[in-house]
Amino acid sequence: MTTARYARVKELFQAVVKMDPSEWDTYLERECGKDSALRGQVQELLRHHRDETVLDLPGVEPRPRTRFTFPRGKGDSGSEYRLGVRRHRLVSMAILVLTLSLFGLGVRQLLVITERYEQSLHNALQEIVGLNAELLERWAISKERKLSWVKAHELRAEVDALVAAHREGGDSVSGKKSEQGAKLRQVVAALAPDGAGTQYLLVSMDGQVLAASKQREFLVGGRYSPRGAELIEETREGPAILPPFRLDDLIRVWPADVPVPEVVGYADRLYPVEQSMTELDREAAVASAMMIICEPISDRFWEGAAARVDAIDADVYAFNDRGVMISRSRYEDTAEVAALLGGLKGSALNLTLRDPGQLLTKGSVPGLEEQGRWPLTEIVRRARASAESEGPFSGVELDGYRSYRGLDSIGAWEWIDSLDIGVVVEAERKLALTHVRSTERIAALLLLMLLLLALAALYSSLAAERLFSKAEAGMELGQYRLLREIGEGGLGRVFLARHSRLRRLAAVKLIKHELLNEETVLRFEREVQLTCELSHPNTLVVYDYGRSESGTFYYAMEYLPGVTLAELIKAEAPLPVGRAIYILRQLLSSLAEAHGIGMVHRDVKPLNVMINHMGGEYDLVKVLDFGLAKEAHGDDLDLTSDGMVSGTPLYIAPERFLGEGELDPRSDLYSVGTIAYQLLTGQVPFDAPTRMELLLKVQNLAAPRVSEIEGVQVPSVLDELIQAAMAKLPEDRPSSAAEMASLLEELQRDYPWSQAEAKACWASREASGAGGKEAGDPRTPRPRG
Amino acid sequence: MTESKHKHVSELLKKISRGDQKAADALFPMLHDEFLALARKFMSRERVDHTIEPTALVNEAYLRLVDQREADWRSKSHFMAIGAKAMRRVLVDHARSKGRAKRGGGMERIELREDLALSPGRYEDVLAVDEAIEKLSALDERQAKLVELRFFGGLGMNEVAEALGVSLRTVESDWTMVRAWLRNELGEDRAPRT
Repeated sequence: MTTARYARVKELFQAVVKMDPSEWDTYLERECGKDSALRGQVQELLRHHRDETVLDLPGVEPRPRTRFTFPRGKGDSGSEYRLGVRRHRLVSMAILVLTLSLFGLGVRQLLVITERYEQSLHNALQEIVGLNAELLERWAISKERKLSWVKAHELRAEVDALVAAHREGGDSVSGKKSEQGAKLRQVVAALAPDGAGTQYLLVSMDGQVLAASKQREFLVGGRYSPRGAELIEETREGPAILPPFRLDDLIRVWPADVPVPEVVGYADRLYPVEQSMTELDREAAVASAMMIICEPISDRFWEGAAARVDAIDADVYAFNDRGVMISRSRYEDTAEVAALLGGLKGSALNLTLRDPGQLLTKGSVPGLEEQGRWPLTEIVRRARASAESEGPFSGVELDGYRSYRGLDSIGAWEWIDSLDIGVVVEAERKLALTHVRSTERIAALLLLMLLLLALAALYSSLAAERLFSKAEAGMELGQYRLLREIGEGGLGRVFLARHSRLRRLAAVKLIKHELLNEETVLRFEREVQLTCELSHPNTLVVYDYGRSESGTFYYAMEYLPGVTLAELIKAEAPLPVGRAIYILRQLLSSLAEAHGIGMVHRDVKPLNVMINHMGGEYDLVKVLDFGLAKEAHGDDLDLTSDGMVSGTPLYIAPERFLGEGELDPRSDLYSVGTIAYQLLTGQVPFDAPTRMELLLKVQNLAAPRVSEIEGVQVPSVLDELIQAAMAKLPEDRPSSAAEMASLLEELQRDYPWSQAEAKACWASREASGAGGKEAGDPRTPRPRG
Repeated sequence: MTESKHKHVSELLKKISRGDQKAADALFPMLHDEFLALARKFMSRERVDHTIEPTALVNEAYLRLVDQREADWRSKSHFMAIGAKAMRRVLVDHARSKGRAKRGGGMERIELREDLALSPGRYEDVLAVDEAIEKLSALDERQAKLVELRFFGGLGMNEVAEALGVSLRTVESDWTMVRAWLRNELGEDRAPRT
């Protein structure tokens, strides 16, 4: 642009800008006259004119919004409705991801809480069982100390006498024995803290009862049972506290009429007086007899310290090496335990800790015989197994096992090896885990709700999005009711629509919300208005345009039952020369009209030209998107703009890449030349793997002439014409579309194309199925933008 | 700021008011050095969020360099006009030296305000405006000067009119057009299009 030219633009601009916008066009038309480029330049500036001082340039104007604004009533601004759909979706995804991470974190935390709770439960159980075991050991020690009087000299002297009498043998000495037995009783009464009430048995080392306290006198002369022999064995290492036992376990034959007392005992070997005096090694010493002190179990045995595990009542009991409970169960009096005992009184020594295999109820308890077939409870089995394998001597069972009452339980055990007694603390699992279970349940519920809410939010946002895209079909825009979507392009989506009163079909294009702001809407309006000035039959008719209630800008245009030239070339090129001329003539005529009023199409390409069967006529050409294309791509060619990225530089005249040049109608002629080339040869004039290379070729290389392509027969005039149209410099091209059209008109005489021939082409198209997805369904303009 | 420098600047301004071009030529390097020092001071901190407001700097320089007792609003306009030019030079040099200011990528987005702010990472703005001014000066020298004064000197309309020696109406009228021209120039061929 020269200084003088700029000065002229400036003059016009400054004059126009003071006027009312409605007068602009008239004024400019008058002032510019034929100089359409000058008018264009002024209009360019006017489009950018605003009163604000701040230069917020269009490039940054449509800021993406995350705010979701619902469409308001009529007349609101389109920009308000702009919904950054992509951004919106991104936000939804972000929310989902966040929720899922929170969910995961929650679950993890919950697991940690559960684990910690279980750990503390574990510790508590272990502590209680350890405490009880220690109490039991202390009890045993104190008992042993209390019974040390058994070793008294006087007592042993009496025992020695009794043993001597026993060795002499025979019933002949029984009188002497009983006499000595009475003497022993006196000594015991004198020594023992319980005095005459002390219960005792004196047993010879070969297993015969030599003497007994008054109440047990009937046992004298009886013999040890094998179990009794085991007890004797126990005392080899020294005095032993005997875990509670039934006295009849000890004696081979128990008189039927005498009730069996349950006792705890103390046993010690007694050595001849002389031997102990010399402090002989116990190994070498030969014991003379064994003294067993019995005490009734009920009040003398240790009772498990009442324990509470984390506010839950726990059962504490002891059992012997046979798995028989030797302490009293706190559930002794419950119906099901009573049933287990089968009439025996008290759980100590009467209750074997067996796994009933199910929850016990009073009615479900079988007889003792069947109970005997049950295995011991798991915790008792574990304790005994550990005892046999010499440790470990304690353990905690948190995974749950069935207790002797058939309840799912958790517990801890400890085996006291010195006493051959196991101690168990056990609690019902359900109760023990109540806290953590309810915590878990609440947390799980909350987490689930969180997840559901997030999903619901995501769903509704997706649904809303879908709704907005769906809502448009069936929507009414002005006089048009949208029927269905028939395509989508860069500018927006295209719908098949019907005029509500005229019943006429139309294609309605909705401009994308993202593209809309006050400025672009104005520009679209101006362009649509300009397009409406065109009336050539080969130019697509724009019927109407407007704004929807939600601010969407739309325009309605002719609905075309046909295919784009791109499709035609793909399917049928090379075309017969007559047909190619027929199509090109129409295309040029349409352009000629536009060029006549100073409009340059700028984007002539096969996708923008449709060939139709309409109004009874075949091969009727319609040129689309005059001016509108420009809005999408901007005024200058910019290789990085969207339109160019998706399109091809093939049809763009070389001079237009150079930027600065003013718009020249002959640029369109170049495009027509390229189209003609393809129609006649079925090939592209330039081909390259990348856009950049293609662009360089378009700029610098001459395309091979049409006539040089193998198998292509074209009249030399047409060959020349195409060659000229594709000249690199506009000056070397035909001077106008009209000129080209009239040349072709002449040529058509020699290469006629009749409607009959055209009809045949269409018929074969449809027959070959290339006609479209639905038979007879007219196709629509491929939307572009 | 020494007394002599004060005096020197004031004298130069008086000469400039009388239309002495040599005085203007003498003032320019002084201001250039002044701004360069300031810009370096700012930029050495290189904090991303830090911005220089060139117009504020020019104003500040005026207050510091010129003895206010002797100053009148006319001399201020002249000072600011030269200041704007010096500031433009400093900023453009700085932007170029940053090297990253490769242009023509086509996707950069430019947001301009009259008080052109410079921060690390916004060099493109400076270069784009500079280029636009260069281009405009080939077409209309006065309009180009106007942009320089507004953007790099932060001059008000009255000051611009005084500095350019034209009427306020002319300045306003030019400004209206230049705005549209700049929008077209900077926005259209650079902002990504859909």
